[in-house]
Amino acid sequence: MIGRALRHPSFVVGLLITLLVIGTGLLSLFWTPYDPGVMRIMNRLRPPSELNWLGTDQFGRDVFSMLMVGARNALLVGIVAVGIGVTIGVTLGMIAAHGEGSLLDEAIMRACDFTFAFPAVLTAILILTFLGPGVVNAIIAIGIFNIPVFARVARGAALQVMARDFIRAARAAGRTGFSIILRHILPNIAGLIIVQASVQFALAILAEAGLSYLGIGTQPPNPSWGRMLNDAQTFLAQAPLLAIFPGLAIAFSVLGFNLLGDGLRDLLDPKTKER
Amino acid sequence: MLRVENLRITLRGTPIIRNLSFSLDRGEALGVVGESGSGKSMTALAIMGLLPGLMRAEGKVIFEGENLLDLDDDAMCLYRGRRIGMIFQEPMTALNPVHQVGDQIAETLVLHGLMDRVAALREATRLLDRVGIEDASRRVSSYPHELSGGQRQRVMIAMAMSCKPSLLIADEPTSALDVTVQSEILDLLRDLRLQEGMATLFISHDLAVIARIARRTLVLYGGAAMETGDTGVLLKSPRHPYTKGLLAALPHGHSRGTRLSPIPGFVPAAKHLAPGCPFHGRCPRGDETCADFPPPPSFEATTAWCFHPERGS
Ligand SMILES: Nc1ncnc2c1ncn2[C@@H]1O[C@H](COP(=O)(O)OP(=O)(O)O)[C@@H](O)[C@H]1O
Ligand SMILES: [Mg+2]
Repeated sequence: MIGRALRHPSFVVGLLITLLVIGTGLLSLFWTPYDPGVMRIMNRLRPPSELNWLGTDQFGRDVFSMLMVGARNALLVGIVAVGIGVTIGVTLGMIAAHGEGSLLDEAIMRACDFTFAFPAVLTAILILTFLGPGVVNAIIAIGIFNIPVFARVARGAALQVMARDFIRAARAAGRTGFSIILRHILPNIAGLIIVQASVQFALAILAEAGLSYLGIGTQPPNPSWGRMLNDAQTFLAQAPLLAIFPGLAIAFSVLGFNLLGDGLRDLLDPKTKER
Repeated sequence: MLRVENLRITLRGTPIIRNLSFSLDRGEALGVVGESGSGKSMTALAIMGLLPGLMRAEGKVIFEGENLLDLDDDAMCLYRGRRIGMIFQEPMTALNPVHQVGDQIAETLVLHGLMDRVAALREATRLLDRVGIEDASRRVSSYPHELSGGQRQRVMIAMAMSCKPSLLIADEPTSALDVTVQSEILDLLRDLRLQEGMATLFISHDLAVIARIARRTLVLYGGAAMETGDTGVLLKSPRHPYTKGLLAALPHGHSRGTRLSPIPGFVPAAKHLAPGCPFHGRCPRGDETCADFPPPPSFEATTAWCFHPERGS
């Protein structure tokens, strides 16, 4: 399994990028070249140099340090938002699958359809206008949109597993209800959930950047890639690199999580799994 | 010990099993035979209380004095796996791919509160050894995909007998295996029945397999009993045309070169069955009476539900 994984190009590239982003975020907890919050107006809009590897912004803050802390911010949003989606979504999906065809199942699935019917970003903006801007509320808004995604995936996968013989064998051995789900179904759908989670993680990072770009996500002075993009707009003619670096950071990490998801999908697919 | 009385299973009003009765004594083996689609599996699942969602069972399934059809799911759990074990046709898919086989055997013991996990794992090793798996102490931590089909079926048997049930239901346990493995599994099941005293309800579409394991046989077709009696007598002088047809389709007893004669036609879907004998459309001896009225049992050397049985010898 491990050998096969290491020969899978998109898995390897995705994993390396993901590890790099996570490593950078963790490192920023202990060390950044400069304090990303400290403004040195004298040093404003410097191009990349030995002192400031990626240059400085309009307040003289070190861009590299801001990107490092921005990585941490993006990861935090991704983890919590996807975490909300996985826990609530998978639970709902299991409840729906357990009572397939029941009123409860119908209710849960229609609620998912309902949520899907709205354009996610517009509704997130709506939620944030209600709750007020801020990273916590952005996480909640993104998390809410992850719930139906996981509910559907989990329900579908659970129904497939339920049709398999070992579930009937488990019933014949005396198991019932939720203990079948915990012991026999969840472990068999975990792979699919993980794949979906890495894709949703990429989307969550993108969503946070978008909301922060619009000014209703992460608020200053907390650095966010989306905010950096927004700030850079004003100086696009003078200092285009200011927009390019956070843009690259967003694209790079989204690509990384997507590649990781693709790789995992191949590796965990029972059809390609060796016996 | 097990007495099934007038069992009827319906799916949205369509009969799947009609008025089926049979019984099984302690330690006895009863074979249930019939073509695919005859209702063998549904009969077994009705006993376990595990019929697919929309199917309903009526009548009585008396097991150790209790009518299982009256029990709810919670009460049935004291029977499933504990007092009635069940094994299935597909050893490839009846084990959970993500758990070690020892774990899956131990699970049943822990579930029914017979042992703690540590003791149950030790017992799992002993059971694997008992069902003839070599190197049981190592195999206990194998995953299902690391085992052959025959070994997996042995694991299933170990699981089903872990709580020492007094009844074992085996639904086509050897049909997916090749002939030599099939024969080993049949020997194992016979040994277990004789040594542990488990009564066995042995389901197969293959009369030759039934003949090896069960002293008594029930022939099922279209959800109704066709004939029942001592397996030897049934094989030697079948009285129901359907049993005769099954026998003629066997490779057994034919001299080399003669053609097997499968029963012409195929099993009609449950909803197309007339009120009479389900076999009448394919039966060489059928007439209008057969189509319109359920045949009464005729008792001779065997019991046959037929208006025109062969005369017993
Ligand atoms: N899950 C199901 N839903 C509806 N009908 C079923 C289902 N399983 C089996 N049947 C029907 O029940 C009848 C008996 O099937 P079964 O007991 O599986 O036959 P056997 O085990 O003898 O091959 C058949 O007519 C079959 O089509
Ligand atoms: Mg069957």
